[in-house]
Amino acid sequence: MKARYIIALVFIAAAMGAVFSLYGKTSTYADFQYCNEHPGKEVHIVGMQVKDSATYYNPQENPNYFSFFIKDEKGDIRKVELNSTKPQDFEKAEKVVVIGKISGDVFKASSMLMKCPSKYNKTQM
Amino acid sequence: MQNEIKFLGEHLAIGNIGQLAIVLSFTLSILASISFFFATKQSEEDTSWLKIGRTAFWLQCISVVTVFFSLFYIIYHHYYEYNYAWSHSSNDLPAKYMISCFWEGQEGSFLLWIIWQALLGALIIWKAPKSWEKHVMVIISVSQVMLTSMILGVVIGDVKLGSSPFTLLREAMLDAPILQQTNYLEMIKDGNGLNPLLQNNWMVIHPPTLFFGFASTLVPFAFALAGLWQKRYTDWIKPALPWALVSLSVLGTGIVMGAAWAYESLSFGGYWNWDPVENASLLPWLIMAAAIHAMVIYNSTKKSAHASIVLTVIAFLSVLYATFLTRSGILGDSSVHSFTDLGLSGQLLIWLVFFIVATGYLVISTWKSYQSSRDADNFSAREFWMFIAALIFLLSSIHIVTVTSIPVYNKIAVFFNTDLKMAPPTDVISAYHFIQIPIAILLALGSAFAQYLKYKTTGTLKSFALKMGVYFLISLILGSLFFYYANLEKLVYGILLVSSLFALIANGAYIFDVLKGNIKAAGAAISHLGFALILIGVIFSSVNKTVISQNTAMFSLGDEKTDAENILLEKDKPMRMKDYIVTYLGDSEVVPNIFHKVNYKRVNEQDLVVEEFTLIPNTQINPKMGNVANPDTKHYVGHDVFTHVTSGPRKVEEPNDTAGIRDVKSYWLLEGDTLHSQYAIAVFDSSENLTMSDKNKYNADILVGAKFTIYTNSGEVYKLEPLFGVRKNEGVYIEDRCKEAGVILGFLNVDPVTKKIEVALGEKTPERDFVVMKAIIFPFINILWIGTILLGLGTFIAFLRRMKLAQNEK
Repeated sequence: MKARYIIALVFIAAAMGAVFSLYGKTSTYADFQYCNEHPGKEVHIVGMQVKDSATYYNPQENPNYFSFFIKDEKGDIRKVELNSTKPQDFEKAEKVVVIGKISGDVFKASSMLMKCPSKYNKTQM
Repeated sequence: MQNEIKFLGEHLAIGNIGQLAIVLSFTLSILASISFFFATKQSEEDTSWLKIGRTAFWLQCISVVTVFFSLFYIIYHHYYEYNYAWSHSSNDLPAKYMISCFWEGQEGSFLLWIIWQALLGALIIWKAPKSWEKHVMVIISVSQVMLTSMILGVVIGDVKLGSSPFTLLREAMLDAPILQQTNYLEMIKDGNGLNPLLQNNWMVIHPPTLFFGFASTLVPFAFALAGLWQKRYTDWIKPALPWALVSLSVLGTGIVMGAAWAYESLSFGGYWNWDPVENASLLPWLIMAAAIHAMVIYNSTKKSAHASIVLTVIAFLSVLYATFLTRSGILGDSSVHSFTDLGLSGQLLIWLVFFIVATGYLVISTWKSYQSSRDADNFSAREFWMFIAALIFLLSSIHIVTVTSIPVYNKIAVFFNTDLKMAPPTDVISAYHFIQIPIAILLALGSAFAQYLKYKTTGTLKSFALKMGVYFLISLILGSLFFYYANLEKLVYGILLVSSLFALIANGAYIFDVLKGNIKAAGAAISHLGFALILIGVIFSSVNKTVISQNTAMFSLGDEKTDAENILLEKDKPMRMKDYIVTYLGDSEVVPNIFHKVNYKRVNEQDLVVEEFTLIPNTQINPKMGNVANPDTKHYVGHDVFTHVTSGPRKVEEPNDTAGIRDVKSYWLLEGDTLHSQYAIAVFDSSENLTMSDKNKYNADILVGAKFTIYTNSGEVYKLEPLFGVRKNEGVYIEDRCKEAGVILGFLNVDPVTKKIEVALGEKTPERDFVVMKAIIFPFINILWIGTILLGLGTFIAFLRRMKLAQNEK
């Protein structure tokens, strides 16, 4: 009987350990203002692509540099630099989630998620 | 008043049939639930309610199939007046992918699930022991009520119940004025099309398999609840176990098919990326594996009765929770692959809460009514370690669900007026590995030795310890060698490797040594063997995965963290990548695809070419959804070489594009004369009178060509031949250009006396076609695939054995 209680305790401890291993590792959905206040902190920013603004991708110069502008939820517009190629369906994405940190005026993104409305959702006519 | 408008060209009959069939299947599911419920109150002899229940369920099956074929008919005939067909298909969609339209949309994938559930119910009526049928069918029918309500599309008061796949386009988009014109269908010639990512053979079979896996978790769940309900608290385990094994086997196969798709299309960056949608499919598998271990313990020792019930119930609830996660839109910001909300999240949540509360009540209220065997726990007993294994599986799923549910915490916090803004870890992979790798080590170790123990007590452990010692020593030596030579970097990978090898050797030996090669009894051993191989394959393919295109000194990237894995390859300019010389040979186009030819030459240490192959990755040009790149792979026994074009082709240059041409001057040349430009020299070799066919082509009376050889500064040689002709006293000038050399030649005149020709030389900055690509080598990936096959096979063998045992019981 005793062994059971020990196992139960160990299991609960392990489960709590597994859950709390997340503590301090989670990131934050933030805006650019938060970034400025917390320089160097890696965050998630949900933003809308600023249509008609300049995107820059010149693979002959550097195939791993792509820059564009997004507007965060508060309406702040910033330049984002992504250390990778320009995604093929970038123009189709309205909402993007960029993950990275601010460096001066520029948001350096290590990765990006794009939400293309047409993929899983109805598009407008 | 809208009903009075007559819309032209609509095919409303088929949609009405489909919609009627949905309503019928919903109503018949309710009727079946009620009838089976009353049947449980009747004696064995009185089968009146049972007969009604069965008939209702059979008719429900027919209705569901009718729904399926109605929707297929609409997609097949391109009836774009239906929103589903317009949103998910198009005219040029190949027939084999038409079936894939079903799982691009929420409604279609619910339908798929409904069909499988109907089939499972029919199997229960047909095959299950009669003492279980009524109670189990109540639960299955209620679940069918739940699922069919999701596609009902009926508005009651202010509440919309479900979303119907037969909604018309003009009903779905009330804000689009053109759809309110009577002849709107004349304007809608084509559908929105199927996401190109789903146009893949794996995507034809992966979703149906996975949905069968999801649906099948219902059966053991229904048996468990029926057991509690009938006060047959432990009798349910024997008939439910084969179903649980089927569920595990099919779920596993479905997950692997998804992984194979993700691997081939690289759309998740590899076979497993801990994306929330992937995790959602793994959760039920892990918990079902835990439940099966508990059920097997009960069968042999009468212990773990409570654990069997709890785990079986959670396995099913995890499917509902996973469905809620992926379909409510809640994962919107954390997964690329989840559905967006169709307004069904409330309905999903209500069902989820209903099932949790109802089953929770049943499980807790009966908790004290039955007992597991009270035999003392013994460390040398097999069941002790199997129970630990079940707990570890559960632990793994607890961790995964904790991380995957981060968006849910944000939503919950909103109810407490807190804006949590919690996002998944920036390095989400390592957050998972931190817990999941130690768990994998424990599972591998346990699966190695537990089978050598006997149930209840093993007695003397001497021969056991000796065997395990030998197997472990072999694994340790092999593992250390691999660790050293394969350069596995981190010690934890080494420990995982040794544990996996231990599991591999011990389970392999078990089949031959203990079971004497009796495959029928080797279900567990083969599954464990497969599990060990999966782990070994994962270690090598992920730790030793090399992006060979990374290795470039072309650009200074500063001190940025360089995940600069893409390389620019100019046409015909070979580039060395590790052991390969890679050359981009150019494109060819077959609408809607552009195929990029990339040649690989493998060279040995003496720089001699030992092997050559060409990979043809392609880019599908899709103006509606964005271009999609499909990688191409060279498969070897030991590794795979991937080529993925990550930046699409540039716009095709207009042939008469004169932009950027500088310094157009003309010169008079004799044969052998040379023209100098900034990047190249052009030598006039000879002129020739051209043939009849060329003359006809340009509609010229006279046509002369001037042959030039171009030598670029970088030592390349090209041939050009501009043409000059006369058509009815008018000059015909056909220029020729070489964009690699930046030279454009125009043939302006010819002096028949001096044989001199007049040539215009235009210069442009030289440019080449190029692709931006990524080249990746995945080593030992085949070990992983073999492992997954063995795992599925082992589970299936176990199913056959348990089914036989359950039938003997009857």
